[in-house]
Amino acid sequence: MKIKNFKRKCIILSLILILTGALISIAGFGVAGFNYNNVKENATTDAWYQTIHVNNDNLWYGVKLGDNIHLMNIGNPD
Amino acid sequence: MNKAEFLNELSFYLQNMNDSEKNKFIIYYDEMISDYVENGMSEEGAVNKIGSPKKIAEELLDDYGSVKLNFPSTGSRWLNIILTVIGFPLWGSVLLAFLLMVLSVYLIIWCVPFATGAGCVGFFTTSIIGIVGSPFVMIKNVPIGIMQLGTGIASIGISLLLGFATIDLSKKIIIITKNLNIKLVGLFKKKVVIR
Repeated sequence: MKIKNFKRKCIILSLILILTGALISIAGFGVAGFNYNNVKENATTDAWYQTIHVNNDNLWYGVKLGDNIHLMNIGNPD
Repeated sequence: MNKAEFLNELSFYLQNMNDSEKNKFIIYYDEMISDYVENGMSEEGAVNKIGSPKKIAEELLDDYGSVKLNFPSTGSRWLNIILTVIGFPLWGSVLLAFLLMVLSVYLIIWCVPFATGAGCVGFFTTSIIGIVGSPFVMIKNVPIGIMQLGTGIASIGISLLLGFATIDLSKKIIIITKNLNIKLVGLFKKKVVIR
Protein backbone atom coordinates (compact mmCIF):
# COMPACT_ATOMS: atom_id res chain seq x y z
CA MET A 1 0.00 0.00 0.00
CA LYS A 2 1.41 3.35 -1.01
CA ILE A 3 0.74 6.24 1.35
CA LYS A 4 0.09 9.55 -0.43
CA ASN A 5 2.42 12.40 0.57
CA PHE A 6 4.26 10.05 2.95
CA LYS A 7 7.13 12.47 3.51
CA ARG A 8 4.83 15.43 4.19
CA LYS A 9 2.79 13.39 6.66
CA CYS A 10 5.95 12.22 8.43
CA ILE A 11 7.20 15.80 8.74
CA ILE A 12 3.84 16.90 10.19
CA LEU A 13 3.93 13.91 12.57
CA SER A 14 7.45 14.78 13.69
CA LEU A 15 6.43 18.41 14.35
CA ILE A 16 3.43 17.19 16.37
CA LEU A 17 5.76 14.89 18.36
CA ILE A 18 8.17 17.75 19.05
CA LEU A 19 5.34 20.02 20.24
CA THR A 20 3.74 17.27 22.35
CA GLY A 21 7.10 16.38 23.87
CA ALA A 22 7.82 20.02 24.67
CA LEU A 23 4.40 20.40 26.34
CA ILE A 24 4.90 17.24 28.43
CA SER A 25 8.36 18.45 29.45
CA ILE A 26 6.91 21.82 30.51
CA ALA A 27 4.20 19.93 32.40
CA GLY A 28 6.93 17.92 34.16
CA PHE A 29 8.65 21.14 35.17
CA GLY A 30 5.22 22.38 36.28
CA VAL A 31 4.90 19.39 38.63
CA ALA A 32 8.03 20.73 40.35
CA GLY A 33 6.29 24.11 40.64
CA PHE A 34 8.53 25.63 37.95
CA ASN A 35 11.25 25.66 40.61
CA TYR A 36 14.64 24.25 39.65
CA ASN A 37 15.51 23.46 43.30
CA ASN A 38 12.50 21.12 43.49
CA VAL A 39 13.74 19.27 40.37
CA LYS A 40 17.17 18.84 41.98
CA GLU A 41 15.66 17.15 45.05
CA ASN A 42 16.14 13.35 44.95
CA ALA A 43 17.77 13.71 41.55
CA THR A 44 20.08 10.82 40.70
CA THR A 45 22.36 10.64 37.72
CA ASP A 46 23.74 7.12 37.96
CA ALA A 47 20.97 5.21 36.15
CA TRP A 48 21.75 4.29 32.52
CA TYR A 49 18.07 4.63 31.54
CA GLN A 50 17.94 8.23 32.71
CA THR A 51 18.19 10.87 29.99
CA ILE A 52 17.58 14.06 32.02
CA HIS A 53 20.47 14.55 34.42
CA VAL A 54 20.83 17.14 37.16
CA ASN A 55 24.41 17.59 38.44
CA ASN A 56 24.81 20.38 40.96
CA ASP A 57 23.78 23.34 38.81
CA ASN A 58 24.09 21.57 35.44
CA LEU A 59 21.11 20.14 33.60
CA TRP A 60 21.98 17.97 30.61
CA TYR A 61 20.22 15.61 28.21
CA GLY A 62 21.72 12.33 27.11
CA VAL A 63 22.54 8.79 28.19
CA LYS A 64 25.46 8.16 30.53
CA LEU A 65 27.01 4.81 29.64
CA GLY A 66 30.08 5.14 31.85
CA ASP A 67 32.63 7.64 33.13
CA ASN A 68 32.94 10.25 30.39
CA ILE A 69 31.12 7.93 27.95
CA HIS A 70 27.88 9.48 26.77
CA LEU A 71 25.36 8.66 24.06
CA MET A 72 24.08 12.09 22.98
CA ASN A 73 25.09 14.98 25.13
CA ILE A 74 23.21 18.26 25.15
CA GLY A 75 24.29 20.43 28.03
CA ASN A 76 27.23 20.11 30.39
CA PRO A 77 27.67 16.64 31.90
CA ASP A 78 30.75 17.62 34.01
CA MET B 1 12.31 9.46 -37.79
CA ASN B 2 12.17 12.83 -39.56
CA LYS B 3 14.79 15.60 -39.53
CA ALA B 4 13.29 17.55 -36.60
CA GLU B 5 13.09 14.43 -34.43
CA PHE B 6 16.65 13.45 -35.34
CA LEU B 7 18.02 16.91 -34.50
CA ASN B 8 16.03 17.05 -31.25
CA GLU B 9 17.41 13.68 -30.16
CA LEU B 10 20.94 14.64 -31.13
CA SER B 11 20.61 17.88 -29.18
CA PHE B 12 19.38 15.89 -26.15
CA TYR B 13 22.32 13.47 -26.22
CA LEU B 14 24.78 16.35 -26.66
CA GLN B 15 23.51 18.23 -23.60
CA ASN B 16 26.88 17.87 -21.83
CA MET B 17 28.58 19.78 -24.64
CA ASN B 18 28.75 23.57 -24.51
CA ASP B 19 26.08 25.38 -26.57
CA SER B 20 28.32 26.80 -29.29
CA GLU B 21 29.91 23.39 -30.01
CA LYS B 22 26.53 21.66 -29.89
CA ASN B 23 24.97 24.16 -32.31
CA LYS B 24 27.88 23.65 -34.70
CA PHE B 25 27.12 19.91 -34.90
CA ILE B 26 23.35 20.45 -35.10
CA ILE B 27 23.80 22.85 -38.04
CA TYR B 28 26.24 20.41 -39.68
CA TYR B 29 23.77 17.47 -39.50
CA ASP B 30 20.87 19.76 -40.48
CA GLU B 31 22.72 20.73 -43.65
CA MET B 32 23.73 17.13 -44.33
CA ILE B 33 20.10 15.93 -44.20
CA SER B 34 18.99 18.90 -46.37
CA ASP B 35 21.63 17.96 -48.96
CA TYR B 36 20.38 14.36 -49.08
CA VAL B 37 16.77 15.62 -49.46
CA GLU B 38 17.81 17.97 -52.28
CA ASN B 39 19.36 14.99 -54.04
CA GLY B 40 15.97 13.28 -54.05
CA MET B 41 16.12 11.23 -50.87
CA SER B 42 13.27 11.31 -48.34
CA GLU B 43 13.88 12.85 -44.90
CA GLU B 44 13.46 9.43 -43.23
CA GLY B 45 15.85 7.87 -45.71
CA ALA B 46 18.46 10.59 -45.09
CA VAL B 47 18.16 10.15 -41.35
CA ASN B 48 18.52 6.37 -41.67
CA LYS B 49 21.61 6.82 -43.82
CA ILE B 50 23.29 9.10 -41.25
CA GLY B 51 22.63 6.67 -38.39
CA SER B 52 21.36 6.70 -34.84
CA PRO B 53 21.62 10.10 -33.08
CA LYS B 54 22.70 8.34 -29.87
CA LYS B 55 25.63 6.64 -31.59
CA ILE B 56 26.66 9.84 -33.37
CA ALA B 57 26.48 11.79 -30.08
CA GLU B 58 28.64 9.16 -28.32
CA GLU B 59 31.31 9.43 -31.01
CA LEU B 60 31.20 13.23 -30.94
CA LEU B 61 31.43 13.31 -27.15
CA ASP B 62 34.38 10.89 -27.20
CA ASP B 63 36.31 13.25 -29.45
CA TYR B 64 35.05 16.32 -27.57
CA GLY B 65 36.27 15.05 -24.18
CA SER B 66 39.73 14.22 -25.44
CA VAL B 67 42.49 16.74 -25.74
CA LYS B 68 45.68 15.87 -27.51
CA LEU B 69 48.75 16.37 -25.36
CA ASN B 70 52.18 16.48 -26.86
CA PHE B 71 54.63 14.73 -24.55
CA PRO B 72 58.32 15.32 -25.09
CA SER B 73 60.28 12.13 -25.55
CA THR B 74 63.98 11.31 -25.45
CA GLY B 75 63.49 8.75 -28.20
CA SER B 76 64.58 5.88 -25.97
CA ARG B 77 61.92 3.96 -24.08
CA TRP B 78 64.30 2.95 -21.24
CA LEU B 79 65.57 6.50 -20.82
CA ASN B 80 61.98 7.71 -20.58
CA ILE B 81 61.29 5.16 -17.83
CA ILE B 82 64.48 6.09 -15.92
CA LEU B 83 63.65 9.81 -16.14
CA THR B 84 60.09 9.13 -14.95
CA VAL B 85 61.42 7.19 -11.93
CA ILE B 86 64.01 9.88 -11.12
CA GLY B 87 61.33 12.57 -11.42
CA PHE B 88 59.00 10.70 -9.06
CA PRO B 89 59.68 12.96 -6.03
CA LEU B 90 58.39 15.88 -8.11
CA TRP B 91 55.39 14.45 -9.96
CA GLY B 92 54.64 11.93 -7.17
CA SER B 93 54.23 14.66 -4.55
CA VAL B 94 52.07 16.74 -6.91
CA LEU B 95 49.91 13.69 -7.65
CA LEU B 96 49.66 12.85 -3.93
CA ALA B 97 48.68 16.44 -3.10
CA PHE B 98 46.02 16.32 -5.83
CA LEU B 99 44.62 13.00 -4.57
CA LEU B 100 44.53 14.25 -0.97
CA MET B 101 42.79 17.43 -2.10
CA VAL B 102 40.14 15.38 -3.92
CA LEU B 103 39.72 13.15 -0.84
CA SER B 104 39.33 16.19 1.43
CA VAL B 105 36.67 17.66 -0.90
CA TYR B 106 34.70 14.39 -0.72
CA LEU B 107 35.09 14.26 3.08
CA ILE B 108 33.88 17.85 3.51
CA ILE B 109 30.88 17.25 1.23
CA TRP B 110 29.88 14.03 2.99
CA CYS B 111 30.38 15.48 6.50
CA VAL B 112 26.97 17.17 6.37
CA PRO B 113 24.77 14.07 5.78
CA PHE B 114 27.03 12.09 8.13
CA ALA B 115 26.40 14.63 10.91
CA THR B 116 22.62 14.63 10.34
CA GLY B 117 22.62 10.80 10.16
CA ALA B 118 24.57 10.52 13.42
CA GLY B 119 22.18 13.02 15.03
CA CYS B 120 19.21 10.97 13.80
CA VAL B 121 20.57 7.72 15.28
CA GLY B 122 21.61 9.45 18.52
CA PHE B 123 18.26 11.15 19.08
CA PHE B 124 16.32 8.00 18.18
CA THR B 125 18.32 5.76 20.55
CA THR B 126 18.12 8.32 23.36
CA SER B 127 14.38 8.73 22.82
CA ILE B 128 13.72 4.98 23.07
CA ILE B 129 15.86 4.72 26.23
CA GLY B 130 14.17 7.87 27.60
CA ILE B 131 10.59 6.71 26.99
CA VAL B 132 11.16 3.15 28.26
CA GLY B 133 13.16 4.37 31.27
CA SER B 134 10.82 7.23 32.24
CA PRO B 135 8.48 5.13 34.51
CA PHE B 136 11.53 3.91 36.50
CA VAL B 137 12.79 7.48 36.85
CA MET B 138 9.29 8.63 37.92
CA ILE B 139 9.47 6.26 40.89
CA LYS B 140 12.49 8.22 42.22
CA ASN B 141 11.68 11.71 40.94
CA VAL B 142 8.33 12.48 39.30
CA PRO B 143 9.19 15.83 37.63
CA ILE B 144 12.36 14.47 36.00
CA GLY B 145 10.49 11.31 34.92
CA ILE B 146 7.78 13.38 33.19
CA MET B 147 10.38 15.67 31.59
CA GLN B 148 12.26 12.59 30.38
CA LEU B 149 9.09 11.22 28.78
CA GLY B 150 8.49 14.58 27.09
CA THR B 151 12.03 14.95 25.78
CA GLY B 152 11.88 11.31 24.61
CA ILE B 153 8.75 12.00 22.53
CA ALA B 154 10.25 15.23 21.15
CA SER B 155 13.46 13.36 20.30
CA ILE B 156 11.55 10.92 18.09
CA GLY B 157 10.24 13.92 16.13
CA ILE B 158 13.73 15.43 15.86
CA SER B 159 15.21 12.09 14.74
CA LEU B 160 12.51 11.78 12.03
CA LEU B 161 13.32 15.27 10.72
CA LEU B 162 17.06 14.53 10.78
CA GLY B 163 16.43 11.20 9.03
CA PHE B 164 14.61 12.91 6.15
CA ALA B 165 17.31 15.58 5.99
CA THR B 166 19.95 12.83 5.75
CA ILE B 167 18.12 11.03 2.92
CA ASP B 168 17.54 14.26 0.93
CA LEU B 169 21.10 15.52 1.43
CA SER B 170 22.57 12.12 0.53
CA LYS B 171 20.57 12.00 -2.73
CA LYS B 172 21.77 15.47 -3.69
CA ILE B 173 25.37 14.77 -2.69
CA ILE B 174 25.40 11.47 -4.64
CA ILE B 175 24.56 13.51 -7.78
CA ILE B 176 27.27 16.08 -6.92
CA THR B 177 29.79 13.26 -6.32
CA LYS B 178 28.88 11.57 -9.64
CA ASN B 179 29.32 14.85 -11.56
CA LEU B 180 32.61 15.51 -9.77
CA ASN B 181 33.81 11.98 -10.63
CA ILE B 182 32.95 12.48 -14.30
CA LYS B 183 34.86 15.78 -14.36
CA LEU B 184 37.87 14.26 -12.57
CA VAL B 185 37.95 11.23 -14.88
CA GLY B 186 37.63 13.67 -17.81
CA LEU B 187 40.86 15.35 -16.69
CA PHE B 188 42.76 12.10 -17.28
CA LYS B 189 40.86 11.11 -20.45
CA LYS B 190 43.17 12.75 -22.92
CA LYS B 191 44.87 11.37 -26.00
CA VAL B 192 48.61 11.36 -25.50
CA VAL B 193 50.91 11.89 -28.47
CA ILE B 194 54.59 11.26 -27.88
CA ARG B 195 56.80 13.42 -30.05
